[in-house]
Amino acid sequence: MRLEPALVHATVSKQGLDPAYRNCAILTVDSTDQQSDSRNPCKWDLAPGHAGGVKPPDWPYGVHILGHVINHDLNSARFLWKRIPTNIKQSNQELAAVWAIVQKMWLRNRAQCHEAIRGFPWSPILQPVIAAVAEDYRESMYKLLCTAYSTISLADAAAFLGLPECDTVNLMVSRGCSIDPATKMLTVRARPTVTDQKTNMGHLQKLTEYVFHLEH
Amino acid sequence: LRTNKQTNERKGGGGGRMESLEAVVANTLALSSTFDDLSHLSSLLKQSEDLLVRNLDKLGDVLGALDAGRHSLACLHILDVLSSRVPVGSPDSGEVICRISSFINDCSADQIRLAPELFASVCHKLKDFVMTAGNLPIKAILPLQTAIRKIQPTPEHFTPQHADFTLVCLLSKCYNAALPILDTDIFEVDPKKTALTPRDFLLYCYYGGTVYIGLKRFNKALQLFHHAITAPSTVLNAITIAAYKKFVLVSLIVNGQLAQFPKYTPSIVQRSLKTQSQAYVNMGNAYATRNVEEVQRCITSHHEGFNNDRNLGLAKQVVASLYKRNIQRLTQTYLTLSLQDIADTVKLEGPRDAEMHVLRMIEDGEIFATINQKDGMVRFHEDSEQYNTMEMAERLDGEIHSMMKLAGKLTAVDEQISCDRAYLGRMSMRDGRHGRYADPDDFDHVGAQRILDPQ
Repeated sequence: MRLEPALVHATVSKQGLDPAYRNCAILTVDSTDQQSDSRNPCKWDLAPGHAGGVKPPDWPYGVHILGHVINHDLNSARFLWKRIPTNIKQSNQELAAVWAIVQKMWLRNRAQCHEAIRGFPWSPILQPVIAAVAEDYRESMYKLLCTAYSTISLADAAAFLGLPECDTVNLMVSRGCSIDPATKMLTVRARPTVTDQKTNMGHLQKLTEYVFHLEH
Repeated sequence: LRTNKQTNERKGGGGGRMESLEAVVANTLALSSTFDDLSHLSSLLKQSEDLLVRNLDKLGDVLGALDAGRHSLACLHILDVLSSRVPVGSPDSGEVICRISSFINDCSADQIRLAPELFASVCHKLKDFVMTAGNLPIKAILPLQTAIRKIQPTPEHFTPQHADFTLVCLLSKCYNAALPILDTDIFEVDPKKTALTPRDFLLYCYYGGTVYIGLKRFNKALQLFHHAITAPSTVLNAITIAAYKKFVLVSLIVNGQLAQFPKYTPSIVQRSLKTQSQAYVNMGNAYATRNVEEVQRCITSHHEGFNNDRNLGLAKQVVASLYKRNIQRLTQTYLTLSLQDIADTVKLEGPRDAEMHVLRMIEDGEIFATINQKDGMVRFHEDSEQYNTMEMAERLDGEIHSMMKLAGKLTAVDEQISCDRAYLGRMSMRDGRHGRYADPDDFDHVGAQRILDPQ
């Protein structure tokens, strides 16, 4: 899942950055890379190319880190945090709050992660990004819950999804699960797997190539 | 600029020394167009190193007068002298870094390939400069990547810049930036064209393996460390020892055991490596008992050694992998198991802890199971992958294609060796002992024909 370019553009331009750096968040920085995808936060690591990857002081680190998070690439988010100069880390409270989210995710501390997402007064620039992160995290926690558990207690499910217990019940029941009110145990319905089987002439061509190769 | 007549006169004069900086500039401007001119210029420049050293302070201006794109060879010589004479920690180092970076970006690949050893020296200098305090290694990542692409005859060639590039990515913690280079397989090694040394190769394997460890791609890390250990050598060196230490720990994480040295490992390595890294061999033995406390004890007793080698984090990952391996073994015996039993068998603190471990493994795709909190049980499943989805088909297709490419390469190398004189000579001597061919010279034509002819 890539961070939508419109979202990034809006975020970066609202911060009133110098135009040169504003474009860096969207433009390709490594022109020799044939498969570059300018919406990929990994490409922002070496931006702006002409300054050799050294970031200007008003670089939107918060958006950068959250870009990696949405891409489910916590490794890159961690390394980016290690690279940020200490003075910026200490002075920018919002950045510290973003890092708290990444830490909780890394340690798989789900309940605290949801709290970290909710518990900070995010600036208008980061709000849409944080909302996207929260939605994505809740969905992936729901998928994990359905895969890993056949029955789960209501308290644990609420911690997974970061919702109060009544909302958790509503959400799970709406998706086909059932609850036993006496023991407060949810019985999870396994998600049906979707198989997509479209064959086309291209496959026939490939099979021909394989057989040719094996024969010679 | 010289007129054609004077240029011819100078050419007619042969490979004489140049006596002044003006002569250097003039020759550069005149002799930078055709390949013959450039070769001549190259020999002139090689003899002018003293001249350049004598005029160190004016070299900056000379560089300004020349264009890096058209006169890359001369700029390269000048930069080499300039960068060797500036001390690494001095205030001018920032400027030198800029000069080298912009040169690499603008230079012409054809010209620098005429002096690969100088290019390698300049790139090494760039790496040395960015590593000093006050400079950021991240500045050298894109220039060194460009340098690799320019000096490589093909993308599959190994260059000395590979090692510098990986080191700079490691130091600046931009591990993903190293992937385009690390993930490209290397098939060609040509010291004449790239001026590489064995040390470059060993360093590349070590740094590359460390980058892969950081990205948690332990399989690829294992491959690179394996190359470092099995590289031909007659003496043991520090790089191989360091690579072996990481190799041991990564082997335990990936395979759960330390394999024997393959047959092609150099004998000096086989004999002496284990004595140099006793703590790691002990880790291997402790891991083999599958007992987490044994492994923990081993780490505690060799704590300082692991710390000095900067392998403590990796050692802790080895412990985590042992828990996972022990839980995975349970799936081979049981269909369902209670969380309490898992905790007892694997020596975890309690059922809650066991649940967290199993959940983590399910999330990472290392185990297929469902947890039943009501009964406190875990049910193990088979892998539910049916291999019938579009994504799986595309993935299989990609793998098959790369195998076909590899098979094609292997066939080409096989044919090349079959026609090689040294190989044919050896074959003839072997058969000569059995009296089949009286004269090895006769074999060259007859034998080659035999090998190439399918009958």
